[in-house]
Amino acid sequence: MRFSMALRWIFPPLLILFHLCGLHGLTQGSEACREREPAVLKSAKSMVQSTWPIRSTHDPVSRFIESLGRRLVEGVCPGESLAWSFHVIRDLDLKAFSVKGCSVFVSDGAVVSVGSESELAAVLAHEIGHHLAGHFLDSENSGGPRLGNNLFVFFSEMGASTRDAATITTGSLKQIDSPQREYEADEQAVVVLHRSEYNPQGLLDLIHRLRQGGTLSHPSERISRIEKLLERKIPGGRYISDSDSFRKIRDKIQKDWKDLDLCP
Amino acid sequence: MRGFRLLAANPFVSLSLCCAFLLLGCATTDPEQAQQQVGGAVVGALLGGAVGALTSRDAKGALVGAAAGAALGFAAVKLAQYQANRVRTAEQDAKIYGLTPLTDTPLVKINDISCSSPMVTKTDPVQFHADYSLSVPKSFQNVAVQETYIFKDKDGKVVANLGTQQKNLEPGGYEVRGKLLLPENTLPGEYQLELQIKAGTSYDVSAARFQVKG
Repeated sequence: MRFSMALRWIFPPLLILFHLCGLHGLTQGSEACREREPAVLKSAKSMVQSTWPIRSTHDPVSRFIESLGRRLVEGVCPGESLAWSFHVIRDLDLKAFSVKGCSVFVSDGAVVSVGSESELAAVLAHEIGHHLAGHFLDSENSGGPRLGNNLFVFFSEMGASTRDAATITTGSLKQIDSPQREYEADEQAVVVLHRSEYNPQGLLDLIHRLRQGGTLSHPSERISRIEKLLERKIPGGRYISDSDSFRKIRDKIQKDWKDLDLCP
Repeated sequence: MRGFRLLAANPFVSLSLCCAFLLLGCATTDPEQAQQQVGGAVVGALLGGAVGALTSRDAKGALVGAAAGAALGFAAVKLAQYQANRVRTAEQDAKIYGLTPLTDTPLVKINDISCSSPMVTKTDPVQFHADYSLSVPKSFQNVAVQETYIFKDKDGKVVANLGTQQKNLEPGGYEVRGKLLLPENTLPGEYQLELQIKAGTSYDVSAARFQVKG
Protein backbone atom coordinates (compact mmCIF):
# COMPACT_ATOMS: atom_id res chain seq x y z
CA MET A 1 0.00 0.00 0.00
CA ARG A 2 2.82 2.35 1.01
CA PHE A 3 4.70 1.34 -2.09
CA SER A 4 1.78 2.21 -4.35
CA MET A 5 1.36 5.57 -2.55
CA ALA A 6 5.04 6.28 -3.08
CA LEU A 7 4.71 5.41 -6.74
CA ARG A 8 1.75 7.74 -7.04
CA TRP A 9 3.94 10.64 -5.80
CA ILE A 10 7.17 9.74 -7.55
CA PHE A 11 5.91 8.60 -10.93
CA PRO A 12 4.42 11.88 -12.28
CA PRO A 13 7.56 13.98 -11.62
CA LEU A 14 9.69 11.19 -13.11
CA LEU A 15 7.47 11.09 -16.16
CA ILE A 16 7.79 14.83 -16.64
CA LEU A 17 11.57 14.63 -16.19
CA PHE A 18 11.93 11.85 -18.81
CA HIS A 19 9.70 13.73 -21.18
CA LEU A 20 11.75 16.90 -20.87
CA CYS A 21 15.04 15.02 -21.33
CA GLY A 22 13.72 13.27 -24.42
CA LEU A 23 12.63 16.48 -26.07
CA HIS A 24 15.73 18.42 -25.21
CA GLY A 25 18.08 16.18 -27.18
CA LEU A 26 17.47 17.15 -30.78
CA THR A 27 14.86 19.85 -30.86
CA GLN A 28 15.08 22.18 -27.96
CA GLY A 29 11.42 22.18 -27.85
CA SER A 30 8.25 23.63 -29.16
CA GLU A 31 9.10 26.73 -27.17
CA ALA A 32 11.77 27.39 -29.76
CA CYS A 33 9.28 26.57 -32.52
CA ARG A 34 7.30 29.60 -31.56
CA GLU A 35 9.90 31.79 -29.90
CA ARG A 36 8.91 34.53 -27.54
CA GLU A 37 8.10 38.20 -27.79
CA PRO A 38 6.42 38.11 -31.18
CA ALA A 39 5.86 41.86 -31.21
CA VAL A 40 9.56 42.61 -30.84
CA LEU A 41 10.63 39.78 -33.10
CA LYS A 42 8.59 41.07 -35.99
CA SER A 43 10.91 44.04 -36.27
CA ALA A 44 13.83 42.12 -37.74
CA LYS A 45 11.57 40.39 -40.25
CA SER A 46 9.82 43.58 -41.33
CA MET A 47 13.18 45.34 -41.54
CA VAL A 48 14.46 42.74 -44.00
CA GLN A 49 11.21 42.79 -45.95
CA SER A 50 11.32 46.55 -46.31
CA THR A 51 14.93 46.60 -47.51
CA TRP A 52 15.44 43.51 -49.61
CA PRO A 53 13.75 42.78 -52.91
CA ILE A 54 11.37 39.96 -52.03
CA ARG A 55 9.11 37.97 -54.35
CA SER A 56 5.44 38.50 -53.57
CA THR A 57 3.60 35.88 -51.54
CA HIS A 58 1.44 35.11 -54.61
CA ASP A 59 4.47 34.28 -56.73
CA PRO A 60 4.68 30.52 -57.54
CA VAL A 61 8.31 30.42 -56.35
CA SER A 62 7.34 31.97 -53.01
CA ARG A 63 4.43 29.57 -52.65
CA PHE A 64 6.69 26.57 -53.28
CA ILE A 65 9.29 27.72 -50.74
CA GLU A 66 6.58 28.52 -48.19
CA SER A 67 5.06 25.09 -48.64
CA LEU A 68 8.44 23.33 -48.41
CA GLY A 69 9.36 25.30 -45.30
CA ARG A 70 6.07 24.55 -43.59
CA ARG A 71 6.42 20.84 -44.34
CA LEU A 72 9.85 20.85 -42.72
CA VAL A 73 8.54 22.65 -39.62
CA GLU A 74 5.57 20.29 -39.34
CA GLY A 75 8.01 17.37 -39.21
CA VAL A 76 9.44 18.57 -35.89
CA CYS A 77 6.82 20.94 -34.52
CA PRO A 78 3.39 19.60 -35.54
CA GLY A 79 0.75 22.32 -35.71
CA GLU A 80 3.29 25.12 -35.42
CA SER A 81 4.10 25.83 -39.05
CA LEU A 82 1.71 28.76 -39.40
CA ALA A 83 3.90 30.75 -37.03
CA TRP A 84 6.74 30.55 -39.56
CA SER A 85 7.34 32.46 -42.75
CA PHE A 86 9.60 31.73 -45.70
CA HIS A 87 10.54 34.32 -48.29
CA VAL A 88 12.37 34.41 -51.61
CA ILE A 89 14.86 37.21 -52.30
CA ARG A 90 15.35 38.39 -55.85
CA ASP A 91 19.08 37.86 -56.17
CA LEU A 92 21.21 35.82 -58.54
CA ASP A 93 23.74 35.14 -55.80
CA LEU A 94 23.58 32.37 -53.20
CA LYS A 95 21.87 33.79 -50.14
CA ALA A 96 19.99 32.20 -47.26
CA PHE A 97 19.53 33.49 -43.76
CA SER A 98 17.15 33.53 -40.86
CA VAL A 99 16.13 36.26 -38.48
CA LYS A 100 14.12 36.30 -35.32
CA GLY A 101 10.40 35.86 -35.64
CA CYS A 102 10.67 32.39 -37.26
CA SER A 103 11.54 33.97 -40.60
CA VAL A 104 13.72 32.35 -43.20
CA PHE A 105 14.93 33.99 -46.42
CA VAL A 106 16.44 32.26 -49.45
CA SER A 107 17.52 33.76 -52.77
CA ASP A 108 16.55 32.83 -56.33
CA GLY A 109 20.22 32.05 -56.88
CA ALA A 110 20.26 29.51 -54.07
CA VAL A 111 17.14 27.76 -55.39
CA VAL A 112 18.65 27.48 -58.86
CA SER A 113 22.11 26.46 -57.67
CA VAL A 114 21.22 23.52 -55.44
CA GLY A 115 21.51 20.07 -56.98
CA SER A 116 18.17 18.68 -55.83
CA GLU A 117 15.04 19.40 -53.81
CA SER A 118 16.57 17.67 -50.78
CA GLU A 119 19.54 20.07 -50.96
CA LEU A 120 17.14 23.03 -51.02
CA ALA A 121 15.26 21.47 -48.10
CA ALA A 122 18.63 21.18 -46.33
CA VAL A 123 19.24 24.94 -46.68
CA LEU A 124 15.84 25.73 -45.16
CA ALA A 125 16.21 22.99 -42.52
CA HIS A 126 19.55 24.47 -41.43
CA GLU A 127 17.98 27.90 -41.01
CA ILE A 128 15.04 26.36 -39.14
CA GLY A 129 17.68 24.58 -37.07
CA HIS A 130 19.06 27.90 -35.79
CA HIS A 131 15.63 28.66 -34.37
CA LEU A 132 15.11 25.19 -32.93
CA ALA A 133 18.53 25.26 -31.31
CA GLY A 134 17.47 28.43 -29.51
CA HIS A 135 20.16 30.61 -31.06
CA PHE A 136 17.97 33.65 -31.14
CA LEU A 137 16.88 33.10 -27.57
CA ASP A 138 20.50 32.58 -26.49
CA SER A 139 21.48 36.04 -27.56
CA GLU A 140 19.02 37.54 -25.12
CA ASN A 141 19.82 35.22 -22.24
CA SER A 142 23.52 35.84 -22.60
CA GLY A 143 23.11 39.57 -22.35
CA GLY A 144 23.50 39.99 -26.10
CA PRO A 145 21.37 42.20 -28.30
CA ARG A 146 17.85 42.44 -26.93
CA LEU A 147 15.91 43.45 -29.97
CA GLY A 148 16.24 40.20 -31.80
CA ASN A 149 18.68 41.68 -34.25
CA ASN A 150 20.72 38.57 -34.95
CA LEU A 151 20.99 36.99 -38.33
CA PHE A 152 22.44 33.63 -39.36
CA VAL A 153 23.73 33.15 -42.88
CA PHE A 154 24.02 29.82 -44.64
CA PHE A 155 26.27 30.79 -47.53
CA SER A 156 29.31 32.90 -46.90
CA GLU A 157 32.65 33.60 -48.45
CA MET A 158 34.55 33.50 -45.21
CA GLY A 159 36.01 30.07 -45.93
CA ALA A 160 37.06 27.67 -43.21
CA SER A 161 37.29 29.54 -39.98
CA THR A 162 37.89 28.36 -36.47
CA ARG A 163 37.43 31.65 -34.69
CA ASP A 164 34.91 32.02 -31.94
CA ALA A 165 31.55 33.67 -32.27
CA ALA A 166 31.93 37.00 -33.97
CA THR A 167 29.44 39.56 -35.07
CA ILE A 168 29.53 41.36 -38.37
CA THR A 169 27.38 44.42 -38.24
CA THR A 170 25.13 44.87 -41.24
CA GLY A 171 23.14 47.98 -40.58
CA SER A 172 20.69 47.21 -37.82
CA LEU A 173 21.24 43.46 -37.87
CA LYS A 174 24.25 41.55 -36.68
CA GLN A 175 25.40 38.60 -38.69
CA ILE A 176 26.58 35.90 -36.33
CA ASP A 177 29.58 33.88 -37.43
CA SER A 178 29.84 31.10 -34.87
CA PRO A 179 31.14 27.65 -35.88
CA GLN A 180 29.50 26.06 -32.86
CA ARG A 181 26.10 27.46 -33.76
CA GLU A 182 26.49 26.30 -37.34
CA TYR A 183 27.25 22.75 -36.12
CA GLU A 184 24.19 22.85 -33.90
CA ALA A 185 22.00 24.08 -36.74
CA ASP A 186 23.35 21.28 -38.96
CA GLU A 187 22.49 18.76 -36.28
CA GLN A 188 18.96 20.08 -36.06
CA ALA A 189 18.71 20.16 -39.85
CA VAL A 190 19.51 16.45 -40.17
CA VAL A 191 16.63 15.66 -37.81
CA VAL A 192 14.27 18.10 -39.52
CA LEU A 193 15.02 16.54 -42.90
CA HIS A 194 14.62 12.99 -41.61
CA ARG A 195 11.30 13.70 -39.92
CA SER A 196 9.86 15.43 -42.96
CA GLU A 197 11.00 12.57 -45.20
CA TYR A 198 13.62 14.56 -47.08
CA ASN A 199 16.94 12.84 -47.60
CA PRO A 200 19.32 14.08 -44.86
CA GLN A 201 22.17 13.16 -47.20
CA GLY A 202 21.10 16.32 -49.09
CA LEU A 203 22.78 18.46 -46.42
CA LEU A 204 26.05 16.59 -46.81
CA ASP A 205 25.89 16.75 -50.62
CA LEU A 206 25.24 20.47 -50.47
CA ILE A 207 28.13 21.17 -48.12
CA HIS A 208 30.49 19.11 -50.29
CA ARG A 209 29.39 21.12 -53.31
CA LEU A 210 29.75 24.46 -51.53
CA ARG A 211 33.17 23.57 -50.20
CA GLN A 212 34.40 23.36 -53.79
CA GLY A 213 32.97 26.81 -54.51
CA GLY A 214 34.35 28.31 -51.29
CA THR A 215 30.96 29.68 -50.31
CA LEU A 216 30.57 28.06 -46.92
CA SER A 217 32.06 28.65 -43.52
CA HIS A 218 33.84 25.82 -41.66
CA PRO A 219 33.09 23.12 -44.27
CA SER A 220 35.54 20.38 -43.24
CA GLU A 221 34.44 20.20 -39.63
CA ARG A 222 30.80 20.39 -40.65
CA ILE A 223 31.20 17.53 -43.10
CA SER A 224 32.83 15.27 -40.55
CA ARG A 225 30.19 16.06 -37.93
CA ILE A 226 27.29 15.47 -40.32
CA GLU A 227 28.78 12.19 -41.51
CA LYS A 228 28.99 10.96 -37.92
CA LEU A 229 25.46 12.11 -37.25
CA LEU A 230 24.10 10.31 -40.30
CA GLU A 231 25.88 7.10 -39.29
CA ARG A 232 24.76 7.17 -35.67
CA LYS A 233 21.35 8.75 -35.48
CA ILE A 234 19.56 8.50 -38.78
CA PRO A 235 18.18 5.16 -39.90
CA GLY A 236 17.92 4.48 -43.61
CA GLY A 237 14.55 4.92 -45.25
CA ARG A 238 12.64 6.06 -48.29
CA TYR A 239 13.26 9.74 -48.70
CA ILE A 240 12.27 12.46 -51.14
CA SER A 241 15.26 13.68 -53.09
CA ASP A 242 13.66 15.52 -55.97
CA SER A 243 10.29 16.27 -57.55
CA ASP A 244 8.70 17.66 -60.70
CA SER A 245 7.36 20.62 -58.71
CA PHE A 246 10.88 21.59 -57.69
CA ARG A 247 12.17 21.31 -61.25
CA LYS A 248 9.26 23.46 -62.50
CA ILE A 249 10.06 26.13 -59.93
CA ARG A 250 13.71 26.13 -60.90
CA ASP A 251 12.70 26.46 -64.56
CA LYS A 252 10.34 29.31 -63.65
CA ILE A 253 13.16 31.27 -61.98
CA GLN A 254 15.42 30.72 -64.97
CA LYS A 255 12.64 31.88 -67.30
CA ASP A 256 12.14 35.01 -65.17
CA TRP A 257 15.85 35.72 -65.42
CA LYS A 258 15.77 35.24 -69.18
CA ASP A 259 12.75 37.56 -69.52
CA LEU A 260 14.56 40.17 -67.44
CA ASP A 261 17.73 39.67 -69.47
CA LEU A 262 19.66 38.71 -66.33
CA CYS A 263 22.86 36.75 -66.66
CA PRO A 264 23.89 34.77 -63.59
CA MET B 1 18.08 46.18 -105.10
CA ARG B 2 15.16 45.08 -107.20
CA GLY B 3 12.92 45.57 -104.20
CA PHE B 4 14.07 49.12 -103.73
CA ARG B 5 13.47 49.91 -107.45
CA LEU B 6 9.98 48.51 -107.10
CA LEU B 7 9.45 50.57 -104.01
CA ALA B 8 10.48 53.75 -105.81
CA ALA B 9 8.74 53.16 -109.11
CA ASN B 10 5.41 51.68 -108.22
CA PRO B 11 2.48 54.02 -107.50
CA PHE B 12 1.01 51.54 -105.04
CA VAL B 13 4.06 51.93 -102.87
CA SER B 14 3.63 55.67 -102.89
CA LEU B 15 0.03 55.11 -101.95
CA SER B 16 1.18 53.11 -98.97
CA LEU B 17 3.15 56.08 -97.74
CA CYS B 18 -0.03 58.15 -98.04
CA CYS B 19 -1.68 55.68 -95.68
CA ALA B 20 0.95 56.53 -93.13
CA PHE B 21 0.25 60.23 -93.50
CA LEU B 22 -3.48 59.63 -93.32
CA LEU B 23 -2.88 58.04 -89.95
CA LEU B 24 -1.04 61.16 -88.94
CA GLY B 25 -4.26 63.04 -89.40
CA CYS B 26 -5.70 61.32 -86.37
CA ALA B 27 -5.11 64.22 -84.02
CA THR B 28 -4.12 63.82 -80.43
CA THR B 29 -4.35 66.43 -77.71
CA ASP B 30 -0.70 66.12 -76.69
CA PRO B 31 1.68 67.63 -79.29
CA GLU B 32 4.63 65.60 -77.97
CA GLN B 33 2.63 62.41 -78.29
CA ALA B 34 1.45 63.41 -81.78
CA GLN B 35 5.01 64.07 -82.87
CA GLN B 36 6.22 60.72 -81.57
CA GLN B 37 3.36 58.91 -83.23
CA VAL B 38 4.03 60.64 -86.57
CA GLY B 39 7.62 59.49 -86.43
CA GLY B 40 6.56 55.97 -85.53
CA ALA B 41 4.03 55.78 -88.35
CA VAL B 42 6.41 57.10 -91.04
CA VAL B 43 9.23 54.80 -90.04
CA GLY B 44 6.77 51.92 -89.75
CA ALA B 45 5.28 52.60 -93.21
CA LEU B 46 8.70 52.84 -94.88
CA LEU B 47 10.03 49.71 -93.24
CA GLY B 48 6.78 47.82 -93.78
CA GLY B 49 6.64 48.86 -97.45
CA ALA B 50 10.24 47.83 -98.04
CA VAL B 51 9.77 44.48 -96.37
CA GLY B 52 6.49 43.90 -98.25
CA ALA B 53 8.12 44.76 -101.60
CA LEU B 54 11.16 42.58 -100.97
CA THR B 55 9.21 39.59 -99.83
CA SER B 56 6.24 39.58 -102.22
CA ARG B 57 7.92 41.36 -105.18
CA ASP B 58 4.70 43.10 -106.13
CA ALA B 59 3.00 46.35 -105.36
CA LYS B 60 0.18 44.78 -103.36
CA GLY B 61 2.67 43.22 -100.98
CA ALA B 62 4.41 46.55 -100.54
CA LEU B 63 1.10 48.25 -99.80
CA VAL B 64 0.09 45.68 -97.23
CA GLY B 65 3.53 45.87 -95.64
CA ALA B 66 3.44 49.66 -95.51
CA ALA B 67 -0.02 49.75 -93.96
CA ALA B 68 0.94 47.18 -91.34
CA GLY B 69 4.18 49.00 -90.61
CA ALA B 70 2.42 52.33 -90.28
CA ALA B 71 -0.12 50.85 -87.90
CA LEU B 72 2.58 49.26 -85.77
CA GLY B 73 4.62 52.43 -85.73
CA PHE B 74 1.58 54.46 -84.81
CA ALA B 75 0.74 52.10 -82.01
CA ALA B 76 4.06 52.64 -80.21
CA VAL B 77 3.69 53.44 -76.52
CA LYS B 78 6.22 56.02 -75.36
CA LEU B 79 7.87 57.09 -72.17
CA ALA B 80 8.21 60.87 -71.93
CA GLN B 81 9.53 63.55 -69.57
CA TYR B 82 11.60 60.99 -67.69
CA GLN B 83 13.32 62.49 -64.66
CA ALA B 84 15.34 60.67 -61.99
CA ASN B 85 16.83 62.30 -58.91
CA ARG B 86 18.68 61.18 -55.82
CA VAL B 87 16.35 62.21 -52.99
CA ARG B 88 18.00 60.47 -50.02
CA THR B 89 21.59 59.79 -49.04
CA ALA B 90 22.63 56.29 -48.01
CA GLU B 91 22.49 57.40 -44.36
CA GLN B 92 18.97 58.78 -44.74
CA ASP B 93 17.92 55.57 -46.48
CA ALA B 94 19.44 53.48 -43.69
CA LYS B 95 17.48 55.51 -41.12
CA ILE B 96 14.24 54.76 -42.93
CA TYR B 97 14.87 51.17 -43.98
CA GLY B 98 17.67 50.09 -41.68
CA LEU B 99 19.91 47.72 -43.57
CA THR B 100 23.05 47.53 -45.63
CA PRO B 101 23.98 44.55 -47.81
CA LEU B 102 25.11 41.38 -46.16
CA THR B 103 27.77 40.50 -48.65
CA ASP B 104 30.06 42.36 -51.00
CA THR B 105 27.32 42.82 -53.59
CA PRO B 106 24.95 45.79 -54.06
CA LEU B 107 21.30 45.64 -53.07
CA VAL B 108 18.45 47.33 -54.90
CA LYS B 109 14.84 47.57 -53.75
CA ILE B 110 11.82 49.24 -55.36
CA ASN B 111 9.92 50.95 -52.56
CA ASP B 112 7.05 52.18 -54.66
CA ILE B 113 5.74 52.54 -58.18
CA SER B 114 2.40 54.18 -58.81
CA CYS B 115 0.39 56.03 -61.40
CA SER B 116 -1.25 59.37 -60.66
CA SER B 117 -4.66 58.03 -61.54
CA PRO B 118 -5.92 54.46 -61.56
CA MET B 119 -8.33 55.31 -64.41
CA VAL B 120 -7.20 57.23 -67.52
CA THR B 121 -8.41 57.99 -71.01
CA LYS B 122 -6.17 57.06 -73.91
CA THR B 123 -5.65 60.72 -74.80
CA ASP B 124 -4.29 61.57 -71.36
CA PRO B 125 -0.66 60.92 -70.57
CA VAL B 126 -0.30 58.52 -67.63
CA GLN B 127 1.88 60.15 -65.00
CA PHE B 128 3.93 57.74 -62.95
CA HIS B 129 6.18 57.90 -59.91
CA ALA B 130 8.73 55.38 -58.68
CA ASP B 131 11.03 55.28 -55.68
CA TYR B 132 13.88 52.88 -55.11
CA SER B 133 16.81 52.39 -52.76
CA LEU B 134 20.33 51.39 -53.62
CA SER B 135 22.68 50.04 -50.95
CA VAL B 136 26.28 49.19 -51.68
CA PRO B 137 29.07 47.66 -49.61
CA LYS B 138 31.52 50.10 -48.06
CA SER B 139 34.18 49.27 -50.64
CA PHE B 140 31.98 50.70 -53.41
CA GLN B 141 31.28 54.34 -54.18
CA ASN B 142 29.20 53.94 -57.31
CA VAL B 143 27.50 51.00 -58.87
CA ALA B 144 26.09 50.32 -62.34
CA VAL B 145 22.29 50.32 -62.24
CA GLN B 146 19.92 49.39 -65.05
CA GLU B 147 16.30 50.63 -65.05
CA THR B 148 13.93 49.09 -67.59
CA TYR B 149 10.31 50.06 -68.20
CA ILE B 150 7.87 47.61 -69.76
CA PHE B 151 4.26 48.22 -70.78
CA LYS B 152 2.20 45.08 -70.19
CA ASP B 153 -1.40 44.02 -70.43
CA LYS B 154 -3.31 42.85 -67.37
CA ASP B 155 -2.12 39.27 -67.79
CA GLY B 156 1.52 40.30 -67.84
CA LYS B 157 1.99 39.95 -71.59
CA VAL B 158 4.51 42.45 -72.93
CA VAL B 159 2.88 45.13 -75.11
CA ALA B 160 5.97 47.30 -75.52
CA ASN B 161 9.46 47.63 -74.12
CA LEU B 162 9.77 51.31 -73.26
CA GLY B 163 13.52 51.36 -72.95
CA THR B 164 16.38 50.96 -70.53
CA GLN B 165 18.33 53.56 -68.60
CA GLN B 166 21.92 52.67 -67.75
CA LYS B 167 23.41 54.66 -64.89
CA ASN B 168 26.28 54.75 -62.48
CA LEU B 169 24.78 55.66 -59.12
CA GLU B 170 25.87 56.44 -55.59
CA PRO B 171 24.05 54.62 -52.79
CA GLY B 172 20.86 56.27 -51.56
CA GLY B 173 17.23 56.74 -52.46
CA TYR B 174 16.08 57.67 -55.96
CA GLU B 175 12.84 59.10 -57.23
CA VAL B 176 11.71 58.75 -60.84
CA ARG B 177 8.90 60.68 -62.50
CA GLY B 178 7.65 60.49 -66.05
CA LYS B 179 4.72 60.16 -68.40
CA LEU B 180 3.48 57.23 -70.37
CA LEU B 181 2.00 58.27 -73.71
CA LEU B 182 -0.61 55.87 -75.02
CA PRO B 183 -1.48 55.60 -78.72
CA GLU B 184 -4.96 56.49 -79.94
CA ASN B 185 -5.67 52.88 -80.80
CA THR B 186 -5.12 51.64 -77.24
CA LEU B 187 -7.91 49.25 -76.36
CA PRO B 188 -9.85 49.89 -73.16
CA GLY B 189 -8.83 47.63 -70.29
CA GLU B 190 -6.30 47.12 -67.54
CA TYR B 191 -2.59 47.63 -68.15
CA GLN B 192 0.62 47.61 -66.14
CA LEU B 193 3.71 49.74 -66.18
CA GLU B 194 6.47 47.46 -64.93
CA LEU B 195 9.77 48.72 -63.57
CA GLN B 196 12.75 46.36 -63.49
CA ILE B 197 15.92 47.44 -61.68
CA LYS B 198 19.22 45.59 -61.58
CA ALA B 199 22.40 46.29 -59.64
CA GLY B 200 25.04 43.60 -59.39
CA THR B 201 23.33 40.32 -58.57
CA SER B 202 20.37 42.07 -56.93
CA TYR B 203 17.25 42.90 -58.89
CA ASP B 204 13.69 43.97 -58.22
CA VAL B 205 10.50 44.08 -60.24
CA SER B 206 7.33 45.98 -59.47
CA ALA B 207 4.37 47.26 -61.47
CA ALA B 208 1.72 49.96 -61.28
CA ARG B 209 -1.68 49.00 -62.66
CA PHE B 210 -4.11 51.36 -64.32
CA GLN B 211 -7.32 51.19 -66.30
CA VAL B 212 -7.79 52.76 -69.73
CA LYS B 213 -11.38 53.91 -70.25
CA GLY B 214 -13.20 53.19 -73.47
